[in-house]
Amino acid sequence: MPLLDISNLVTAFHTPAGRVPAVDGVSLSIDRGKTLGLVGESGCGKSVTAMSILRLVSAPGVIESGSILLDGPGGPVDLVSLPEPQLRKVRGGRIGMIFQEPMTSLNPVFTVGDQVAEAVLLHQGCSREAARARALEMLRLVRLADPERRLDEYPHQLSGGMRQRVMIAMALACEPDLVVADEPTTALDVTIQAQILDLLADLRRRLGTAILLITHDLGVVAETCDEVAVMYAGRIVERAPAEKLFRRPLHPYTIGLLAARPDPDAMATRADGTTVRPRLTTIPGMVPSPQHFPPGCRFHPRCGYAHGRPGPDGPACDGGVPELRELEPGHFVRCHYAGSLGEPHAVGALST
Amino acid sequence: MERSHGFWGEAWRRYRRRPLAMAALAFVAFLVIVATLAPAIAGTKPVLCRYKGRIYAPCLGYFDRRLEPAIFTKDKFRGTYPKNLAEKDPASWAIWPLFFQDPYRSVRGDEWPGRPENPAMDQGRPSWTNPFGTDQAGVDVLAKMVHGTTVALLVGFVSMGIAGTIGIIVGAIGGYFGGWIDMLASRITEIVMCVPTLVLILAILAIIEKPTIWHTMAIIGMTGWTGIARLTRGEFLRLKGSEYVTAARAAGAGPARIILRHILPNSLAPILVPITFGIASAILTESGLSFLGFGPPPPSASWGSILNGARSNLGMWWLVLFPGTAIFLTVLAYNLIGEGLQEATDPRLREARK
Repeated sequence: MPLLDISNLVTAFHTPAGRVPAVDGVSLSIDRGKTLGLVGESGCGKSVTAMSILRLVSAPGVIESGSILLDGPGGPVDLVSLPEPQLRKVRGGRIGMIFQEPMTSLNPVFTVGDQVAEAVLLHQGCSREAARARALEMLRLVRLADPERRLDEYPHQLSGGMRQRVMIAMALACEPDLVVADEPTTALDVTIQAQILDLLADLRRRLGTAILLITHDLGVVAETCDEVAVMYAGRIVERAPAEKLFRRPLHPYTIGLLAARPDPDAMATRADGTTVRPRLTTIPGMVPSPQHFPPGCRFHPRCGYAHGRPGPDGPACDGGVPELRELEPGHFVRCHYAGSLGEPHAVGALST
Repeated sequence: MERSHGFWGEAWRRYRRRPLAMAALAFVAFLVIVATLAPAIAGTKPVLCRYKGRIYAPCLGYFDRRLEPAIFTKDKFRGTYPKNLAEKDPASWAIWPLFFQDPYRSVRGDEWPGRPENPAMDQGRPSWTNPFGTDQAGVDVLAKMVHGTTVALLVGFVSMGIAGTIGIIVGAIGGYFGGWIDMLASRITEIVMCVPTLVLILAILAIIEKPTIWHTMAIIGMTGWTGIARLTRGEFLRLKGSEYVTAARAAGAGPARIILRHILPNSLAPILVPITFGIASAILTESGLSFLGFGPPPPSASWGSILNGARSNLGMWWLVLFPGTAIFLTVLAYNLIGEGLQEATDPRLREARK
């Protein structure tokens, strides 16, 4: 079985305004040593999915149903129902986590060395000296410059990229089987981003750690992931090996996302013969708010292919919820018409 | 390259830049020194003396009667050392306190060679022998104040120690766990907040047979924690959602570790400020009680109880001026320290530093 198998996960927030299902029936699986990219726009539920894995969703958020099976030596355990003390051993021990904001994810009153050593002390019964030695080793592993000195420095003395390296050192200190990286490079400069991604890929190869990489950056996914899951409005809409997905996206949303990437080589010719850069392609409309998800396929109000459906040829886009179908081996799509979309139309009413 | 300072190092650097706050800190340090060395500064018992071949330190009797060597009671010194030492052992010698006056009794005539008896009542105005005057019973005011410093400091530290401990525990538990626990903690805080401290103290002191200064401190501490609890709760509410706390949870830390290691150190700075102000107000409360006559019973001396002596005799202005000034300066010092701390640890200023 895969290392981590999430099925039908529902995580909802019970706010005064009503129940908000941020994650609505997500199923994912990650094999040992592989990288799965979870892609989607802000607010699509990808971070909540990540937080749900370690049950870090705080009130008023609740995991309502589904299972998160983590395979281990004693057989798989369900993280959704695992008692808190055992769960604490999984957190940091078997699953490490890297957060988006390296500037605020480190405790300002402790030295870098103390924080990495704490991660070690929490899971391995060893002396303070041994933990410190391990911390130094980890800082070296994540290629932090001058690790001996950094060990006794405070987070505010480090740059964003350096802090993210420290976060990675903390997450990997106990050699977890899986690292959940929630937008690890979003807050960093592009050059630092590349370094951090290289580092993650390198560590994955050396330590055999599986990675769940959450991002909204398709470029990052293309470079690092074995498999990709695209999320929209709380659901997985498409899941495929990275290469397949980029070569032939099947869901209209994925098609839109890929089309929206700027192409540095594209040039358009104007009527007078001069060439200009073409306008960026966009997906019209806004991500729907979880309180007011449209019925049926949640993407249909923004979908260029949904226009005119239902035709005589199939179900209504605003009717039943489309199933996640395996259209090609390993390639899953949640769209009634995937594979036979036809030509896109201009999207009309975009009020939702 | 800037050396590692840490949060408190940075705060101290900024605190040091405020001359008034530094002066206030120096003043409190001075009070601590005075309180510790009180028996050596003012008293009638030798700091060290040689008597019948052995060395004694009778001045320790000011801290606790039992520390006064038994031999002096046996030889019937009755608290007067200079004459007795000379008469009963001509070979004796003694190192005397800086200032030969007793905080608990009037110094009799000729107790110290060539010195007249302490004047009493309104004759006891400030003079060279009694710089701050004497009270109705002829007890030297300066000696009383020197020995009363201990009370003033203890009241602040002990009562705010109690209040700080209770307040931080209640606030931390409520703020961290939330839900019905928070509800309960908040309601208890509000109930205690409604209790009028002064009335409670008066009532309890009336019930207790032999009230001491410790009872007063305990009551001030046990009623004065509400503000600290509320502030702690707020800090915990703010910090428990912070990313480094989530990161600590993701690393597998349990509630105790998160509360003690991750949230508390980060919330200590803002909590320390009301504790400092609380020390000032505890001193004021104690002085007020003593002034009303509910202070520690004699012989323990408190600044407020000296003020009490002036109530019946308004002509003795020195009984108001000197202890009143001491109380004022001490309260002011603590307030200045609190303000300095606030400025030094303000997160907005911390950001501006970069």
